[in-house]
Amino acid sequence: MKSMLKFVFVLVVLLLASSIVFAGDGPTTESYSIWIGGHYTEFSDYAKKVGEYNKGDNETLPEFALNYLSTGSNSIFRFTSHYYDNKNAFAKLQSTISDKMKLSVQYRSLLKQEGQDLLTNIEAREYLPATDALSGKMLTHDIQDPNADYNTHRQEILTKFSLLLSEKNNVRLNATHRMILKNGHEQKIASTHCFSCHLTSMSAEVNNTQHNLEVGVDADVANFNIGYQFGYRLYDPQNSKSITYYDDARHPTNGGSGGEFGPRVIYEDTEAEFSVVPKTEKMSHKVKFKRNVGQGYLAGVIGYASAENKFTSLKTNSYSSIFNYATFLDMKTKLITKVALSKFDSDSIYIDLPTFREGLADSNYVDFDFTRYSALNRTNVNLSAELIKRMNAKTTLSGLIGYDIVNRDNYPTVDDGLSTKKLYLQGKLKYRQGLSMRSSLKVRFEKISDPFVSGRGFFEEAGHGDARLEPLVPTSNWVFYFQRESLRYQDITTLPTQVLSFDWNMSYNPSMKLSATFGLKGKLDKNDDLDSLDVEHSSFIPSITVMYNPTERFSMHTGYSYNYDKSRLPITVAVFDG
Amino acid sequence: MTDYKSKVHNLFATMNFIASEKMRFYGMVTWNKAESALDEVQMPDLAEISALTGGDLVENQDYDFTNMNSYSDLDYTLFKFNGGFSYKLSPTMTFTFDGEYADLTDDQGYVFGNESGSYFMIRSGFNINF
Repeated sequence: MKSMLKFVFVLVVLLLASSIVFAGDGPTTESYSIWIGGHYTEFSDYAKKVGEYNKGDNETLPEFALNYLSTGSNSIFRFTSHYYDNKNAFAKLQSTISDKMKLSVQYRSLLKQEGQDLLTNIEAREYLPATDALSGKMLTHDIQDPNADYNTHRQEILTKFSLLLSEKNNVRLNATHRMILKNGHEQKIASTHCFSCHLTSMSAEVNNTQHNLEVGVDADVANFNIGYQFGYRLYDPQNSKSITYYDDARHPTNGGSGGEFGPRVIYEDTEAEFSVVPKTEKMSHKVKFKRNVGQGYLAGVIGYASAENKFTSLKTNSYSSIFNYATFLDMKTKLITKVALSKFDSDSIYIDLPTFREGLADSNYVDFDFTRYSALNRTNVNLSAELIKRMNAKTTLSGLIGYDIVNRDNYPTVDDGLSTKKLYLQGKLKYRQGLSMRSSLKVRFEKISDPFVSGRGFFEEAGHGDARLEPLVPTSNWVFYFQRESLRYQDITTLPTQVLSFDWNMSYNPSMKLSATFGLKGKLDKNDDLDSLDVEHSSFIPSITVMYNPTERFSMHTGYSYNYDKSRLPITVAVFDG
Repeated sequence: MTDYKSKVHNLFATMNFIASEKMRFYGMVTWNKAESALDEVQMPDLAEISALTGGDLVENQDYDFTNMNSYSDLDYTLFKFNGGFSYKLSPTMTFTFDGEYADLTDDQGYVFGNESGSYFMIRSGFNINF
């Protein structure tokens, strides 16, 4: 009841404030309605899936809705709201004064239930057939809060504002602000190293705030429409810290050799924070222009953005530009060309790790410190041209050709990254026969070279007696797990090198009372350029809908769709053998 | 290598009926069934691996992959019905009544356990126009 009164109070304040702001206009028509009632909900068995966006309680609650509309000689004011319960509510205020000012403020609140991963698939123990006994190597899990009720409450306030600053040059200010508040509780899972090899699940508080602001000015100057837009985004997770205990490192079977295993790991016998979500901030600037040229127009956007992880001070800078030119070649033929160029540049970071086995007598030390160069660093180029031809009064045909390049700087190796190239061709046919039938068919083919693949290989050779697994130092015959990295092979990716897709739909209206739509979407892709694996995907979505309105008082709408997806992929089996 | 298949059926029907100037009925029924599963996985022959490695690697192996492909199967069926009516008591006041029933059947129970459950909601109120 307290939250409902708070909601009502906010509505009244908004209405009163709006009535003062727009009082001068003198409304010519005015209407409002109130719906007052209540609802009862009842759940049985597991409520979190079937009632994913409900509170999940068996209860009776009051509910109401308030709507208001006022139209003046040159203005419209509209207010809609609906209160379902203290977690689910909606309100929207819209106002327009001629073409000079537009304001929209919207509030949305919803609850989302979250399930708890029971981790029951995380349970295994080594078996020794020779002795018919279980070994000490095991994988276990621990749920510290089995009765946790995970859910998050999301609230969003979206404000849009547009104001004509000057009729001369049509100077207009546009601003949008979106604030998202998310709070509640979620599950977090920590994993511990080999000695105890277990996952620990616990509750964690969620308390995130997100702000997105965009402010810009547009104007018509000479023959140009020009504009500038500033963007700001802040994601601030003010969550409580999730702390877990990392066991002291020992031999997984006998529990001994702590002196050997301890200096091999980064955390040991200590509590540390895990699952940390960083606070991030992003600022962007965009300049855009558009100008009529001949029978067509030229438009472009040039942008710069900088994003920063506020916890680590790591920054990513991006530069982008897009240019479009569209023109009529003749009365029935239109050409659209696009060129886009963008570059992403992220800071590299030096990772300072404890020396491996430091302090042990055999001097098998390794310094694993390294510089992490970002795999995000890249230059993208996108080129395309589309020709649209009206063949006759019923038929339109279009063809599109494009070429995309992703040139990575540092992945998989520094200053020698993968370059992915994609050529695509697309044809589209539209046919219309009066009001009774219309249909369209789109077919697209893509050819991709060097899609993103794993940089270090997917599989690992057996390794016994392999010359690549030499002891680390001449005075020792020890070979360590991390040295097996050199035995890895097999490029792997789920991304295709060839894609064929199509999309057909048809609507048929035999009479004013009956209409039907038919659709079929499909996609086939494959990658047979890998060392020894062939990756394939296929999907088909046929659909049909029928609308029938036999009388003015009765209408019905029915439909069916089927979504079939098949992926042929390598499967990795986790075999438990220490 | 194996195939992962996902099959989703969606069926819906809605209707609106204005019985008189005062009374209006509406309703909607939806049925959704989603299944995902791996085909049987052809695992490597353990005897061949043993021969390749001199038996060293597979000393402790006693694995059974027979049902492994079914461990991550998903199979949900959701049936949902909602409907209601409104009756105009006077030119400015309307009585409304509606409800919703949903039933979810989880035939596999994976990750979060068996998620089968159902709920119903009934709602009633008065709409006043000014």
